[in-house]
Amino acid sequence: MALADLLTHLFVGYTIGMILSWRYERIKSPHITAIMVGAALPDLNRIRLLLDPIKLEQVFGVPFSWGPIHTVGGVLVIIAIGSLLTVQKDSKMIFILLGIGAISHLFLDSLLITASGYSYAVFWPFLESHPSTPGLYLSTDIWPILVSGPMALFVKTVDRIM
Amino acid sequence: MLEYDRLKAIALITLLIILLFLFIWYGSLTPAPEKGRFPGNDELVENYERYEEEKIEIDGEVIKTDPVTIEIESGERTSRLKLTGLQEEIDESDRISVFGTAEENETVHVRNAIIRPSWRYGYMYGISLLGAGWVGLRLIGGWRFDKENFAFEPRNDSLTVRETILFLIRGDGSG
Repeated sequence: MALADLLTHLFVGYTIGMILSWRYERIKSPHITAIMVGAALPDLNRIRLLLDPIKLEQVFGVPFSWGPIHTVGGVLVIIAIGSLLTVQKDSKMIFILLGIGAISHLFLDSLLITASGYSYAVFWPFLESHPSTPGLYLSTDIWPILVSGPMALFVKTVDRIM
Repeated sequence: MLEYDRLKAIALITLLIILLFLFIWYGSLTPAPEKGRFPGNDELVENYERYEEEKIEIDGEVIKTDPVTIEIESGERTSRLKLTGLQEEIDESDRISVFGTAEENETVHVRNAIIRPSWRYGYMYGISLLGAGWVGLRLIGGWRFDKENFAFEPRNDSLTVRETILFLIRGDGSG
């Protein structure tokens, strides 16, 4: 089961956003936030803790899972919805920014250690298989934050100096 | 502009329907070990016997160490399973992920296990909450909702953290 260390994902999103803002002048603070929101999106599958899918199945009589939120296909639809909810002139750019964040999240989570050695259905519904994972870290590990936190602080400092 | 609004509404409704369809589709998926999707908590809580002799991947809390017994959850329902063949030392209340074989008498033969002390979960949820607060403040400080266009747009000047908190306390829509 892939688990969340949301803060690490946000630090990574922030770092990517900062670096992009050096290259592209259009990317400003709210756009960096958009990348961070994208990097948080797949963890919205935690909604299952509030809305139990098994109960929903019983109530509505159809199978149900929040799982797609943590896959390429589901997150793509959510990003499309999100970008349509921004002003027209920005929506294309927001789509890309949210996408960058979400890809960083799904990629990092595909490296998580699992008991079976297989990751989750990253590319669903385009590909059903769970790729095998190199098993780099657990989301309950503390070191990812000790790497990503200083990294974010470093780009912030560089940004100040530049 | 009206034309865009109409298209936008149609697109939004279509996307929501697709999303709902994906939720239902994913919920109807059955285990496919050859694709790396093994029977898990949901399947085993529902009907353990059906998956006997199969490889499974579950996640639960250690409630007894002799014999090693774990409790797995599926929504609000739980099952207790015994573990055999575990090499690692464990303590009560540890969290454990297991890849193994479902055997008779609700006993799982462990092939591989990942064990984490329960406080690590507190740590993970704690920092995740911190992260949610951070991105929340950035969103409110950097974006505003334009009611007329029913759309979010970046503020011309982002609010500082202090201004964002003041904005939240005052609760007014200006800025």
